[in-house]
This record gives sequence, C-alpha cells and structure tokens, in this order.
Amino acid sequence: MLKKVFISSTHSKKAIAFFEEINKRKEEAKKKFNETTSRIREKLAKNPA
Amino acid sequence: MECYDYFKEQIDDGSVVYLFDTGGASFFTVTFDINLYANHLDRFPYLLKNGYGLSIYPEGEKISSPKISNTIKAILADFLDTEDKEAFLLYHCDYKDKKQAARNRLFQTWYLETKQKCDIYYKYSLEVEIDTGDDGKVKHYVGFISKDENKGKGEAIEEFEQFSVDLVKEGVAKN
Repeated sequence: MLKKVFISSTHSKKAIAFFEEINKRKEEAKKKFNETTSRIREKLAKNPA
Repeated sequence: MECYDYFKEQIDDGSVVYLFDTGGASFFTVTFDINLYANHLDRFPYLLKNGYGLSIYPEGEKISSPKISNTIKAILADFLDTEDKEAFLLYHCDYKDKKQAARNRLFQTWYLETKQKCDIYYKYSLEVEIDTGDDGKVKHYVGFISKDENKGKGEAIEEFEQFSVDLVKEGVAKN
C-alpha cells in the first residue's frame, strides 16, 4: 500500500526537524551498535568472508 | 539463493543486530532497534509496542551485488520469521546524500522480488513531500514491513495513517 503526503512550507519546519532527529538518532544508534558488536567486528576484520 | 554468512546478536535493550562482510571490501550492519522511533510513538501504542527501527549501515567500498541484496533479504526474513513474528519494521530512507529515492526504489524492488517467491510479507509505504520554502521540495520515504499474516496489521496501518495526518497537521517533532 502506498500513501502520499504533501507538507506545505507553513508546516514544514517541524516535519523537517522530525526527519533530522531520526537521522541523528540513527547515527548515534550506529555508534552504540558498533561498541556492542566490537568483538564480532574484530573477528570479521581478521577473517573476512 | 546465494548469501553471505551473517552474525546475529541481541543487545541488552532487546534490539537485534546482524553483521556480515563481503570479503574485506565492505561491511554491513543491519539493525532492528526498539528505541529508534520510541520518542515519537507515545500516541501510537501498537507501533510503540511492536515496532523496530530498521537501519542498514554499509561501510567500506560502495558495491552492490545480488549476493548482498540476497543477504539483506535473508536477514529481514530471519528476523520476521524467527525473532519476532509480530514485529513491524519501521524504516526511513536516509536522505543526507539526496539518494533517498534510489534507496526507496531498491527497497521496493527487494520487496517485489521476495513477494514473487513467497508472498508472506506486507509493506506499507508513505511518501512525504515537504515544501522547504527556499530550497524547493524534498521527498522522504517511510513505512513498515511485517508478516502479511500479522494480526495487528490493521492497527498498525491505522496508527501509521494517523501518524501521517499528524505530520501534515502539526508535525511530530518534539523539542
């Protein structure tokens, strides 16, 4: 199912802030996941597929 | 279907992370994060309870191949088939490099390819076009994937549609 939404410039600031926050949270989450999986990442780096 | 081997690890907060490498050239992390959208789902209890933020992080050489696509599709299937059959995988195509439309097309292609082989997943897509005023218009692509047989699908769709209404009416960002 596909739904399309248009947000005018009147309401765009909050919507833009929402998407920027999600992007920022993704970057922060990536750091957290990297720390948590550091041992596996090291093993993969030493023994690539 | 030829895939790379992958590792799977559950994080203390309940999130799940998958990792695979393509032989040293590039590395992929696929995460199912229970916290990613939590701040914005307080008015959407069903998605808050069952939603995971899906993210795919490539590192290293920028390469694409059927084997990489197959591995990511296998990881998504593994999560929905074995980790949490009631899950809704919430996604937002990364837009910082302005390639969100290409990512959305690729994601849709993967979904349709999977659907041809086994029609057991459901994808809900929301295309959000924002008039930014000075820079013109920017499109964002969000949505969710779940098992087609998921009994909460109707509630999830209802909440996601309300979410889109809120986005238009007042925005959903929090300070």
